[in-house]
Amino acid sequence: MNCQETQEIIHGYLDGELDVVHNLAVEQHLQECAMCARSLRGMQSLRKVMRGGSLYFEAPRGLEKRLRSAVRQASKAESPRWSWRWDWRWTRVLAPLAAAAVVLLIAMPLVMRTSTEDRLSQEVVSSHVRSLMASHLTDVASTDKHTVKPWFNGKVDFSPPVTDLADQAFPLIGGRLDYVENHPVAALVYQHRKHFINLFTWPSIRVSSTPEEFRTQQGYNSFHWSQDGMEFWAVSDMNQADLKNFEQLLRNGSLPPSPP
Amino acid sequence: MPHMNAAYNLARWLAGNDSDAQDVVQEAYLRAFKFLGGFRGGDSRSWLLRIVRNAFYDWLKRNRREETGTQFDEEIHSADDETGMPDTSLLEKADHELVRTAIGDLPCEFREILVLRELEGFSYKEIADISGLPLGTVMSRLARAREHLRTLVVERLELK
Repeated sequence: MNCQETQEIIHGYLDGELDVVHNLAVEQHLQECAMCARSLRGMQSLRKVMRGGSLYFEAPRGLEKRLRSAVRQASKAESPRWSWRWDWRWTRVLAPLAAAAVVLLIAMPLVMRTSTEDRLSQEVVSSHVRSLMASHLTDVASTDKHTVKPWFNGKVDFSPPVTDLADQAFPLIGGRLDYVENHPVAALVYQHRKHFINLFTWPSIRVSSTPEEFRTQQGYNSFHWSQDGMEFWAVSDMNQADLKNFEQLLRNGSLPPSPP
Repeated sequence: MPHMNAAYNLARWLAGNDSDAQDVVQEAYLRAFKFLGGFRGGDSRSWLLRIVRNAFYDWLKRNRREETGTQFDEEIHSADDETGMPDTSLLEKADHELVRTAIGDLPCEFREILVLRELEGFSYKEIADISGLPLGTVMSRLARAREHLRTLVVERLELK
């Protein structure tokens, strides 16, 4: 191989993209040719500078918040909505509605709770989908609860109960910091055969516990319950029976949460 | 947000300043979330960077009066001596500030390929997927990008 041929593929050599034959041919030429060897060294020093890390632009603070709010707004805008101009004829329609609103006010706590539940379940399902699609399932990948639990120290202001259910075919595979309703929450990740389960946990802020129920959204099942002052949302593409089983195992095996 | 640093780094190198880069990244994430259904598995980082890249070029069409970075004049910069190689022993003295400015002065198709290869560590195949370029073009463009960068850096070191 001569200098010109070598120069044509020397970048591939530098990048480790050559097959064995060409790789050897380049190496042989480099041993014989001081000029090509020097050229390679020059490129290696440039690359060293480029890879030193100081040329990498880290995302500025505040970008994450900006992105989250942009994405949230966009998803709100997608929900159906009609536009209308004010028209006095609306008054006739609105008067009875106003009366109905008074009735609603009385029933408000119930209504609010339902819509909160809807919103929460939508959020946890979205988080679940995102965690799978963005291949960002775990921040801490470990099957050891004594590794996963302490990892949350300093990241959330509570200590999530972590139970390993490997013996019951629901092995723990890790944990992740996630956000629900703009608050950091603990997401514990379990696996059941080929299914992943995200278990979202945060301290209850409500006085009375909300009803336990199954929901199905976008083909994902979620189940929500409260225990020992903590809220739990389990989300998975497993069927409801398996999800219920998972919940029962957690309840029975779960220790009371440690104080923050 | 997943891969936010990688997205920002690419956008920042392409757009040339923070504020435009943030606009591009925001647009890219909106597209990404809108088209999550279009994600067919594989490496999500390259999937996202492909969206960032497209968002940047669309943004460039809408907003830019002229290309970022100076146009690279191959005539002026044909500094290679008769052996076909510049004095590369100088390159060991190149510091990151000098290299940073030199990359910034390259045309954006060269900046892009250097960022993907050297800063993000993508393989040729992955770069081809992200940029939609044929593999052969990736190789030759990377070679030209490095050679231009080398010429610029050597020139500036000689001026020092």
